[in-house]
Amino acid sequence: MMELQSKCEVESHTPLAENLSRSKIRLCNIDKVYKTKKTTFTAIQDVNINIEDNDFVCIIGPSGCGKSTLLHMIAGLDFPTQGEILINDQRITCPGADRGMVFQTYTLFPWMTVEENIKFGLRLKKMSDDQMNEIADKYLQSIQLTKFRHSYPKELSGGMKQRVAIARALANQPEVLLMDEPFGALDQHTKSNMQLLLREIWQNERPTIVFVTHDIDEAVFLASKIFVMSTHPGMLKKVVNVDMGAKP
Amino acid sequence: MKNDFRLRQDICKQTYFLITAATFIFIIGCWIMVTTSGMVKPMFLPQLSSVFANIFEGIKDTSLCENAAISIYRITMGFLAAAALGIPLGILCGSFKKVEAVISPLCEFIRYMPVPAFVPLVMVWAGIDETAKIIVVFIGTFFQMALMIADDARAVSEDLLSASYTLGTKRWSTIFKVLIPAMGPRIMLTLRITIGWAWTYLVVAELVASNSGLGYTILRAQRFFNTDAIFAGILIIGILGLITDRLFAIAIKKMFPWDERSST
Repeated sequence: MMELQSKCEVESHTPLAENLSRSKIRLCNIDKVYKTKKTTFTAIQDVNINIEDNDFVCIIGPSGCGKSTLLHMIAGLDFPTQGEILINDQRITCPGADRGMVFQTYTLFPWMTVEENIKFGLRLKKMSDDQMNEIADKYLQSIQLTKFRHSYPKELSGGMKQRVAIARALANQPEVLLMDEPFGALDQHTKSNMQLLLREIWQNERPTIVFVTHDIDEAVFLASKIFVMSTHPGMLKKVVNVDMGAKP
Repeated sequence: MKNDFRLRQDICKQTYFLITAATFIFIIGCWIMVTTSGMVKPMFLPQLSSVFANIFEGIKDTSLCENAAISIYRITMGFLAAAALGIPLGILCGSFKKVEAVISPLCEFIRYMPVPAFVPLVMVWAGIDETAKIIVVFIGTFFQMALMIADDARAVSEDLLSASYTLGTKRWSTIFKVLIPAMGPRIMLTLRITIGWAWTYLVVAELVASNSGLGYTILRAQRFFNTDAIFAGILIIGILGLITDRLFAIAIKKMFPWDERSST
């Protein structure tokens, strides 16, 4: 944390009302409570987060702080007990193609080739073949896997699979890319390469990214803004703006 | 040699085949030995040669082929009916809790009921023609199959479905474009296992209420204490079962070259 403090300028918790118009995604007073017959367990308490367009946001915190649940809520795969989540000032009620997601587990469709995986979302949008090929080519190139376009996922290494998963999500041109510890299962070397690649993609295309991790180094390396969470209950502890100029 | 017995150590295909062949030859050898030496009376275990003589005779007068054909017909129809209903129902059952609440307890209950006990009932309901045997095969396989397919549907990882949602699929397109393709190899494996059981129930049906089919030949042979004919019937069923199993294995390999478990 010391390293984080020295490198970054620390700011206090942003009040909700500020910059409403510029916010891409707003999480307002989010609570998540799990109720069983005897006990109630508050997993997330009163979390407010504003994410602006073209931000690279990292949410970090120890395991069990609810960071992954927050991400699933933005995706529409899980729902808050209290509070609401808005994207472009519209309430999120279900998952959709406007919020692409990359998971920690490998989620490529194993019966499709790399290329077909990337085209999956485009096919759903009934895009023309030419357009699909153009987009697939572009992303295959940016993840440096053009040679593997006709391979099945089982022929790829872990790092390659995650690269395709990122390309598949980005090819769909989502409003925001959600990443749930996508490099958690990779070895250190591959992980570093993936981080470089991701930052390169972000600098070139400036997609809005929300990235969940428990790795502070990773967050500092990647993010333009870091939300630090504490556990039991999961609450927002601190918001850190990272000075991009200081990065190598 | 010592390394061959490390856990899950692979061995080359040739060695595998040799060991299999040796096992069969050993068993046949033992059979020939105990029967020709007179240690076991032919009434208990017939000579291998007389079993084969019985099979060839059956082929010559076409009775064996006819009986095998009618048995294959019954099993195919019963099994197809079970699959046609069991697969969609299993998928719905594994996808929607409300469907599961209807189907699952019912199937769990019925699958423990003894199928042979249904045979007389089925005769009362459906008569003694082909439909009756097909229904017995159906009852024997359907309930197990529906439950197993439901399990196959549940085995598809949650994250795979979530990924599909975030790429833009809705409820039904997720089922058709992701869930079912992802289940493919598991569905085929379930069919491969349940068709083995279908053979058992077919013989049950034919033993009780039939005047044709391989089960019936065994029953008739039993009445006259023709142990060689009994063995001939059992062997033929075994061989037909083996052939179906191999066909399934080949089909699975051909259909799902992308599957993690199948080798490239």
